[in-house]
Amino acid sequence: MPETETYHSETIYPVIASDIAMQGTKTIDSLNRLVDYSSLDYIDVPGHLLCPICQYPFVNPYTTKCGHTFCKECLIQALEPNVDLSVECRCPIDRRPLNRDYVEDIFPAPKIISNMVNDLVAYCPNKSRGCQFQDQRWLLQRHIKDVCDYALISCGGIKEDGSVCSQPTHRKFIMEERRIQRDYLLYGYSMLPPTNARLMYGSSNIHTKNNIKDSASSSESVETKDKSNSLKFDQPSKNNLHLNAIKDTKLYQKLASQDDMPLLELQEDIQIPCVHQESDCANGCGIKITKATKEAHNNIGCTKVMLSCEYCELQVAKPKLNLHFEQCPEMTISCSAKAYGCTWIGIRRDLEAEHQSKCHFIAMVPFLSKQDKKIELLEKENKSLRYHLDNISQSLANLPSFGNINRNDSVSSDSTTYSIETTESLGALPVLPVDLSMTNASISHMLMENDRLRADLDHLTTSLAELEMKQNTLFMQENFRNQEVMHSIKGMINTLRQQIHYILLEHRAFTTNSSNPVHIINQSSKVASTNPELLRRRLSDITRQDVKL
Amino acid sequence: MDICKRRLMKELSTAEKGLPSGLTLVSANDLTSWYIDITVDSNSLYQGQIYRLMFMYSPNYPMKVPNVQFVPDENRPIPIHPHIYANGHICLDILGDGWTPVQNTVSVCLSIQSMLAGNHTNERPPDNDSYVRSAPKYAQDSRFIYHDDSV
Repeated sequence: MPETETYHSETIYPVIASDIAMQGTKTIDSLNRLVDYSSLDYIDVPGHLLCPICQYPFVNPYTTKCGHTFCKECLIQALEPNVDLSVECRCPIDRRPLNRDYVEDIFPAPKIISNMVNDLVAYCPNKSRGCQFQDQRWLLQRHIKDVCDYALISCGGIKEDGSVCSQPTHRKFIMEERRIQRDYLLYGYSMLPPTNARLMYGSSNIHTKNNIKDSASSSESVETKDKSNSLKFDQPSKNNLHLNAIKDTKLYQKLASQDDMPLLELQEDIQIPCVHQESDCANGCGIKITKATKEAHNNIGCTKVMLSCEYCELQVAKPKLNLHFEQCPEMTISCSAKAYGCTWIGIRRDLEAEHQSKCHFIAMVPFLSKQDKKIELLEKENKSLRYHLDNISQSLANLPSFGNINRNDSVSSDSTTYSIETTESLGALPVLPVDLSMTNASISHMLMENDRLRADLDHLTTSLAELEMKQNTLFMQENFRNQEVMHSIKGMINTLRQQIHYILLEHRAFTTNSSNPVHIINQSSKVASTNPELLRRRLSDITRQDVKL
Repeated sequence: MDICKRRLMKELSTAEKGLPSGLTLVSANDLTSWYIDITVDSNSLYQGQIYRLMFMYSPNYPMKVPNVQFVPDENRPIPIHPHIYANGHICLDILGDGWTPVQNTVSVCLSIQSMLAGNHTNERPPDNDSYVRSAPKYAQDSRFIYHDDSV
């Protein structure tokens, strides 16, 4: 509890969740002191426990008189009065007027709500640094304060020049150092790998705060791994000496009285060397490392950490192991043409010596890989074509209808295939999305134009046909009339001709009658005798009537 | 992290998981402005058309209302509606005095969507011309009078 936890300087005070103002100061202490509940990574949160304003689980929930619950901080901010007080403060949910200064209007939510949100499970805030811990959020503070290996705490170690280091570092490095020092104090050696720092106690028998400088300088004197090893095991006499020397000190008695004294509580008693002190990598790779970076260096970067290859037992530097695996002659591998179906598995040497010359698949590899490339290219092309097609069909679907567009379905599908053909030639080239959208726009524009023109054309064709029909009928009518007129004219001409003929005959009969009357009489009697009716009726002939008309 | 950033991060992660139908997140630039495409297929006036909404968040979001307006773009006209001006400004009470911090980007989009879906008059606001001529850059800066509850 907060009151009792003040016995060492890295004390981490429990969360004051609403204490958001504190977040501004990012000192090491504040980094650990505040578990900001609102920025935790929660694992499974029921929707009812989310503040409607910030959308995160309630922090310090407050309830309004209308029964709605929010984070205190959110509610206070939401009810902040306007500068000119023009707008009344209202509940964000039901708009009931509220005044944040009245305790009847807003008050802490029932305990059960706080308990429920505090029970929500979240990841440790140091997850990004590697901590996998997860627990109910109210327990995370304790975790960070006491346990979390990745919590940042002040180094507190003694630097080479004797000053105290205040740089932050992960707790696990500090704890490791402390364990080494404690073990050394108690037993004269540590189970953990020796470090030069441990020698502080070896050379300066009694360690107090006052002789820090002494111990620091002596730690410089002994540096090599061999020497520390010899101290540890080969010089029991010196160890005993050392033990005898410090046995009387208070620290030793304190440590001995309690077997498993928490390392956390030893800050005042045990001095550790600064973990940020640079030293050469013990493997001799020449890179400067600190205790804090040693682990990462050994795991990834160090070129002198030798690992034996599991196949050929060759010693290979760690970073080069993967490279070695690509060449190791003893490694079990499958045939290089495995992808094409070869099932051969064996060591690499055999592959090169025997299998390579026999394998039919390997012989096919150049051809097959060529095919693969081609297929890949085609797939790419296909993809881009499909994209175009999608775009085109979409723009087709979006085209405004011109009324007779349905009639032209066959034609418009023709135009679609045409535009696909044009894009096909472009398909192999990578087309930028900007260009695509531009071509699409222009294509759709052209399609629209095309359809409009087609509609116009149709309209023209139909009206032309109508006109032709009209013209034809008119012409026919005219023609008929003309023919009738012609007929009548022909009839009239016939009658005229007959009349003229008759008149001529009469005339001739008259003239011959005067000179040769018998002949005339004969003639006229002949006409009269052959067709007397016709002569008489000629006046009422139909054609004659027509002429009258 | 302040409320604004956290809230927008949360909204963005929800939006990336999926938006209600008719809404598409186009871009969300460094959390200060988002573009959302909106379609209204239930109303024949706006069927088949896509409109683009711009959201601009002030650092006081969600306590202060974000600036929301339609922005024209290629194939993205401004919808014709008696409460939407030709410059994209929207006259809607929740985008002014009616805003409460409980609302969010998606709920505003849904409000606009339903405002469009319920409209049957194919015309601009009566004072469209005079407003557009003198309008400030952001709709937020103009004072609308909300009098019409019919749409």
